[in-house]
Amino acid sequence: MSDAPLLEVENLQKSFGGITAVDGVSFELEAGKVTGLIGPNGAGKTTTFNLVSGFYKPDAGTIRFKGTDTQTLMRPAPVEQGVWASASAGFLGLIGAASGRVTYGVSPDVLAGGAVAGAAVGVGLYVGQNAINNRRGAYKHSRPFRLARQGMVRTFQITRELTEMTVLENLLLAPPDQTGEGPLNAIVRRGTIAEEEAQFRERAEEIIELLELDHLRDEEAGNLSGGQRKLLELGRVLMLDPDLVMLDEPVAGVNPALTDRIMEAITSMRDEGYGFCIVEHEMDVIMSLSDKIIAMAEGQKMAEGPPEEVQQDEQVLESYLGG
Amino acid sequence: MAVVSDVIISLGVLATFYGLLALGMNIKYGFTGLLDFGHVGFYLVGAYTAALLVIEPDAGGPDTVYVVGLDLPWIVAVLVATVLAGVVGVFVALPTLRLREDYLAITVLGIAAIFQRIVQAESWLVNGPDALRGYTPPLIDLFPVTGGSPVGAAVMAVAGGAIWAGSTWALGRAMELEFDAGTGPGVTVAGRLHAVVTFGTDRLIGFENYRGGALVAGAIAAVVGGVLSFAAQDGFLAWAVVVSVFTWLVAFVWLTRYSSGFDAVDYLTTFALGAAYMGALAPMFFLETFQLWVPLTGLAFAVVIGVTVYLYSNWQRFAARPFGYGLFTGLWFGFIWYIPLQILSDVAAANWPSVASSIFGNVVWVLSLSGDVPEIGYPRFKLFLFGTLLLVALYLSELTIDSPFGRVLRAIRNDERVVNSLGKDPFMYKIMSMAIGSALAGLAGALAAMHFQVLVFTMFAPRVTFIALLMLFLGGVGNNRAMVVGAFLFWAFQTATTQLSGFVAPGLRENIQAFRFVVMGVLFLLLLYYRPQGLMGERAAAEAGSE
Repeated sequence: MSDAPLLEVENLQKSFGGITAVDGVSFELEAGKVTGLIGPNGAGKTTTFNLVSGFYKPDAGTIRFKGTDTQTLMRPAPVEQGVWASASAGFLGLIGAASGRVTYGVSPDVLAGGAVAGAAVGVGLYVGQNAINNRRGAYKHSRPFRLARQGMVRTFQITRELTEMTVLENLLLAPPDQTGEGPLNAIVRRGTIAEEEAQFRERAEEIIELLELDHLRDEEAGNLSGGQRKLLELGRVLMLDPDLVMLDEPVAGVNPALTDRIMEAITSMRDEGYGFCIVEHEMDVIMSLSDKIIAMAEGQKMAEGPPEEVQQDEQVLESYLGG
Repeated sequence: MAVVSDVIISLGVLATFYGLLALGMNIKYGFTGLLDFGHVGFYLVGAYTAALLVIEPDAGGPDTVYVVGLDLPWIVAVLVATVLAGVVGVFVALPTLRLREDYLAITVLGIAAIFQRIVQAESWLVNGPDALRGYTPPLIDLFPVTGGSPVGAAVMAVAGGAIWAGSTWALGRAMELEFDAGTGPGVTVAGRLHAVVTFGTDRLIGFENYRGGALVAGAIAAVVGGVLSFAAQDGFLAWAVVVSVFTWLVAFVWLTRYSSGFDAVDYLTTFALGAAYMGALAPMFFLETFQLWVPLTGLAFAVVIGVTVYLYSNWQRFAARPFGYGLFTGLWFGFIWYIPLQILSDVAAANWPSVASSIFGNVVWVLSLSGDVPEIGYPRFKLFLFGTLLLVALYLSELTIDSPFGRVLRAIRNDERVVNSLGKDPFMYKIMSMAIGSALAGLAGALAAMHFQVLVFTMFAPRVTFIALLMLFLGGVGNNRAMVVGAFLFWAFQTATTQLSGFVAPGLRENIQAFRFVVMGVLFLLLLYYRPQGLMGERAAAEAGSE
């Protein structure tokens, strides 16, 4: 599995109504590399992002993250399976008991028997439909959070920050597997939670400093400017410590000095082995940052290669760079 | 002799379990953004579950038919009702949570209606469209208790001790805030009072540990109260007076905190406003003809409201402290009703013993003095029990909401997709939120079953959900503590209008009862328009404002 590329996309397709937004795109992303995704508006870059990160279900094609199909990765978590299975068992158990009562009368044996039989059918039905769905080629799971847990995190083109929460809270939300995320733990394990919070807070403070947001630490995210929101989103992703970071226009609306800082941060993280996939219209930024460029147009891949090569490509020049 | 402390007690009982209902709503809507119009459904589940668990098995009589009666103790019934309502909440949530806000609201409204119809139509289940009755609330045989008996001593020890501990804690908190402002121990009123009520132990335990100190003080108070009450009825009475006076003093200490910066002018103005609002009701008391008092009362109210608004917008003092002015105007209004108004007719008749006993009865709220002997009646015990449960639920909710779990809930209210992109499953969190909120509604339902001692399907109309929502918006969305305030204000309004309708001709009484919903609707609209965040606002904002 370690030899497999970080992300492999094969023949990805998606259409909305009559428009084919992504039409058979294939590419690979590697760990420790920055890949730039460029193309004119409507080329399908953001759709590709949404497909890869699991927010849209692809019409066709496969996506493999660290060698595993993302459809497999996005299957329901064990907890969720447990909830559905027990709900199904409970509901059918109730029906079983009720039908036992109606058919054979009120003896405890009949009621218990009916309930157990119903519950068994309930669990069976859930497990069965799950198995069938997993085998069906046409069936697509859509649980983006499962991908994020595996280490693929994305940001949004139109920033989605939690407007009613402070900058610090926005960052503290991100770390995975916090003890305090269980309501019961919140009451009985307050000591552990306080320790964890202190650690997360320390990390958050580092990131806030890196992104020069210190003076806004306790400001509600809704009061931030567009560029600051971009930074906040980036910071939130960094809190997760992912393997693959997908950034949708990370420097749009950010001032030049901060753009440099973000670029520095990305480069140093790349050298630590993180993989990046970046959609960006700022040509200077994307060309100097990327190890590889993928140019898209009308839902298809137009060119792929090192920045210098793609910059010389006739088609790209004509359709996008405006030669 | 008019002892209206009993009125306040029954108001408090209603406010406690409605407060729990609103608290559940707040977890769902206030923090997670799930607009659950079917909240009453879980209240229903809790109420009927608790009733069926404690009721004796159906003897087969023709009057009352129900599916099962388990004759279990109330503590089991309340726990099971709470948990079952939570589980039903999960069941309802699984299919409905995929829907967006407004569709979710309509769907769960439908589910609550189904619950209500089942209770109404299935006569074998819980006595069909008729009332389910025939169970008794816990420990009711023991009440009313008086001094000189072991039971009286035990009740006074437990309740008196708990009230003492709670009040001492509140006092310690006030003292801590004063320390923060730079004063030393024992200097201020709060500090001196604290030294007295902790029986001097605060110096041994240390002022910083006022929480532990409150427990110690409560324990001592429990022993003292128990012994005194066991010794004699006079001891019982005397200790009740001490406890009551202590709670009043703590209330005054806190009020002086809220009125910091008030001088005589401010006190007089708020008093005048409070008196003016009370006075605006005067035509109702004194004029018999309905054609006369209705327009006069309306006119008087219009004038007083006009003056209030004018002062608010044009007078520096009022505009700078709208919260303090509003609070104190309301308090003066309540105070005028609580003491002077009750003794008015006796004073006019120069019936001084009656005046004295009326004042005494209203000040010593711990005891009921309506009967021949001072006693602790069942309503007071119920308020104590419900109040304790409410405080525990509130404390646990605050812990949950302050934790990372609460942070995820608030993030979901803001933007679910962000939570999803950060590797957390919004669906599971929404289910947990539904479970907790519904369990709180179930607890409220179990307490309602205990309180009303009779359950009819009409008690579970969608109206209840909207009353809980009203309390939520009144207090402040996303502020747990404000739910108690909202519930109290709602029932204060209801009680006030009920009291008022006592003064009018019986034929008009129903009109007033109906009309108050109109008034409430108008007030709600004004609230949403001018102060959509509620009286106390969201918690973070509320804290920044008051401290």
